[in-house]
Amino acid sequence: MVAVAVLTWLLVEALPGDACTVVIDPDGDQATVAAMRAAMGCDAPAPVRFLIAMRSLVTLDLGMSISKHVPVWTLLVEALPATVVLGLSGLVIGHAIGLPMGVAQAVRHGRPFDLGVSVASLSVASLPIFALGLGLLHLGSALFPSWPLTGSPTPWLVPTVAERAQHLMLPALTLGLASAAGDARFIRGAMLGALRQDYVRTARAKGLSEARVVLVHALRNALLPTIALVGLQLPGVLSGAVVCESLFAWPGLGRVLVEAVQSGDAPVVLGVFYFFAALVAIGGALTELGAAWADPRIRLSE
Amino acid sequence: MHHRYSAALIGLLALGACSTAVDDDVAPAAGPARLDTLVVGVKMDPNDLLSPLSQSAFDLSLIDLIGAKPLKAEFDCELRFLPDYASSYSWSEDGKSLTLELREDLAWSDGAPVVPRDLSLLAELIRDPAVGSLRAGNLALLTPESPVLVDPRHLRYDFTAKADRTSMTANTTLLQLVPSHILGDPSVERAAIRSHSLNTTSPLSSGRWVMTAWEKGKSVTLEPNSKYPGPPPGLARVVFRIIPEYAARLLELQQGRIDLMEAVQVADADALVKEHPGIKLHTRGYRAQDYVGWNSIDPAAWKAELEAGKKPDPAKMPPHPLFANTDVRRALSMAVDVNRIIADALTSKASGKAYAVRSVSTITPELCATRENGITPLNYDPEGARAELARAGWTDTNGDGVIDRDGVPFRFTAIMPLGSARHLLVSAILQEQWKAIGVDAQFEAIAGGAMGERLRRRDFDAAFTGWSAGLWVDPTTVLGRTSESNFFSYQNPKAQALIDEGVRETSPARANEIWNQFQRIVYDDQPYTFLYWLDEIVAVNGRFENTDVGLISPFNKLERWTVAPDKVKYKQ
Repeated sequence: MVAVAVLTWLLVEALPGDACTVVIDPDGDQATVAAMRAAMGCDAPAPVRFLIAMRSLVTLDLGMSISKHVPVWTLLVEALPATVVLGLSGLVIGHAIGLPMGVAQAVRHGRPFDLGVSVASLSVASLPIFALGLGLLHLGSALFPSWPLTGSPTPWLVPTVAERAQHLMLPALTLGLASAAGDARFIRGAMLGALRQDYVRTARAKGLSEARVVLVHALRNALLPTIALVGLQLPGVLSGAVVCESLFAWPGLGRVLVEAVQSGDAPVVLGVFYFFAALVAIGGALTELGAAWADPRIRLSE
Repeated sequence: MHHRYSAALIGLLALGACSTAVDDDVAPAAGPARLDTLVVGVKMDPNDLLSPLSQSAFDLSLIDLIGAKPLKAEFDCELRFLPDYASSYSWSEDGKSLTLELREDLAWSDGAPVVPRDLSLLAELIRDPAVGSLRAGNLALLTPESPVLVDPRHLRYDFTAKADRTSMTANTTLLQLVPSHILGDPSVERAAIRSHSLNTTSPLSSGRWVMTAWEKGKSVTLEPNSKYPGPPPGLARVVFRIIPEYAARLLELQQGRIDLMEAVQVADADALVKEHPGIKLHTRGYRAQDYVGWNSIDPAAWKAELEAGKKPDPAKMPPHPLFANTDVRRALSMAVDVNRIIADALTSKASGKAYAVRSVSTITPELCATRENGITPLNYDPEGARAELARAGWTDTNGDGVIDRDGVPFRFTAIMPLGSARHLLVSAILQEQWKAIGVDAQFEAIAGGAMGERLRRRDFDAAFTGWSAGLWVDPTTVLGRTSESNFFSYQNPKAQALIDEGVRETSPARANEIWNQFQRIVYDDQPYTFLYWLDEIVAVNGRFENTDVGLISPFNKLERWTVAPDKVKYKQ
């Protein structure tokens, strides 16, 4: 967290300008301009700004947004649920697509299907997420012209579950497809390893059906490393959410971050990064615990 | 995207202007009953909802809908002032006092009456350094005691000197009232007023509309203010949906999930006309202009002054090695075929309609009085430009295609806004046209906030950017010698003298003479390569009627919009 805080602070410092230059009229009375800048903390020397940033990490007092004039915590807490919903949906979709795809590739290893899916997943993984999202937005618009594909439900109407799902579909699918490509490659590799193990050979020798061999014996063991994969994917999901939320008008932390960067609102930028770092750390710890729980061979002490 | 000063100016524009007689033609069209909802796609949430603090164009549009002002503005060749909180206004014979006759039938949305104190507190807040208002300059010409409550129905603004009445009226009467029954309480700290819920989440309304919901990052909902006297607006609701990305907003418009979108690009306008006949395109008029501004002082010297903690004086700065020479700037302008730019980048391929006109001034051609300024635009003449540069010592001595002088090639980088398709397209044309005369120009796209900062710090050679013009003439901000926003450090004593004279001139005829002379001097000096005024396209769903998207704001006459009963889309 400290490393993240230091790096984030350096990045924010590297940005030209600050939110004070937007909020305060530079043509105004110069004494007023100076007083306002001082009050908003924009004129503090760099070491002082650094100490303030570090103190906010320790005390969890993230300060006030310079451009929105509300506590940074308020902005983060308001936006968090939307990002969690989007991120989890993306992960679920990613695994729902990537897992069977990877298994099917491993089973058909070296055949045209394997090659085709590899090329397709590599292509998707190479696409910038903005381009992927924009493509899906156009596709979704053509296929489901009556569906609301961006934003959140109509403000003055009580949304149905179906309407909420329609709004979530494209941003979650964008995040999901981006992670599915990686999932598929990971599962494929793990499955190929598992299918070569002695216990699989034994299972086949016992006359079990191929489906049972693959889905019960091989997949069960191949799945264990994917629990840890979820932890590794969290940073990607969160960074993807930054782009997805702006493109699909999804009101989450990513949107808050983009607006804060555009307005040079350093306290908010720092706050969002702290939050992201904490989410990744907590997510990573949870997946480690999950992996240990699922595989008795893994011990936390190791 | 125009830099941040555009927003400030748009604000001033949203503030209207003046004539001596009040026009009471403000009643909304009787029209069908309030039936439908207008859904508008906007880029981002509002920030500040109190008029002394509001800054973005959306802030200003929003508070203009929910807040009453002393006067309301319309534009038709010039600003016209209409009644709002003031039922009429009058000027003293000496031209130094403006008296408003105030209504007594307005109320805030919490039921408290609107009172003259709401106006005097507005002035106090704007002037109070603790508040840090962006509008402090509006009241600069007022006496410290102004406004003065003459009696319960009359309030007077006293000015320290005579000046142009349009700007004096606009600066003082086009700001939304503030609720003194809350903000006037001694327990409300002025320094903390930015964080007050009236500014950040829950504004009170004194205008035609009231904010009924604001879901951060999602939408802002307005409904008619039942406490505002007179006929109600013709719509049941206006919803501003926050959709940051242009492409997503456009799709939502095409799918009918938003009804109004501002700043539609010309190429998209063609597709909308062809494929979505239910969407009507409107144009707002020539409000925004693009230009390439030339830094006339040495940016390194300016930077050194800033780093030494000094306030640089443009008059004492060493000149820019390339652009301080007027002949060089003229040559660069002569090499630009503005008509081709308009034809290639800003004209509909389908209809042939041009959404831009050539620009020769910072004063919008929408202002009829100063439109005929006698300026003949420079001809597109690359050969003449080469000859002009050669006379200034710039020739291609080594045959590499780039002109040089004393071994220094004519090479520069112009900054421009990031993410603007128009700037990207036009910059490619400019680059090619300058290359044809041996000038190597590169363009660097920079995000909005950083662009503003680079301009403010004079940290650039040239800038491809723009202004959103004021609706009355006052070039002080953009070309005044000491203005922070005179980014290109334009200095000409004759032009400055005309600015000083023009802003104080009370005779419209004489003022127009001054401004026309001023425009000619500036055009001769070419501090900018003037390019074009844009006619902004606003797309509106065709079910709406009486949709007058004006120069001041697309929502300036929103109360008159209606939907025929058989076309209503949202019945809830």
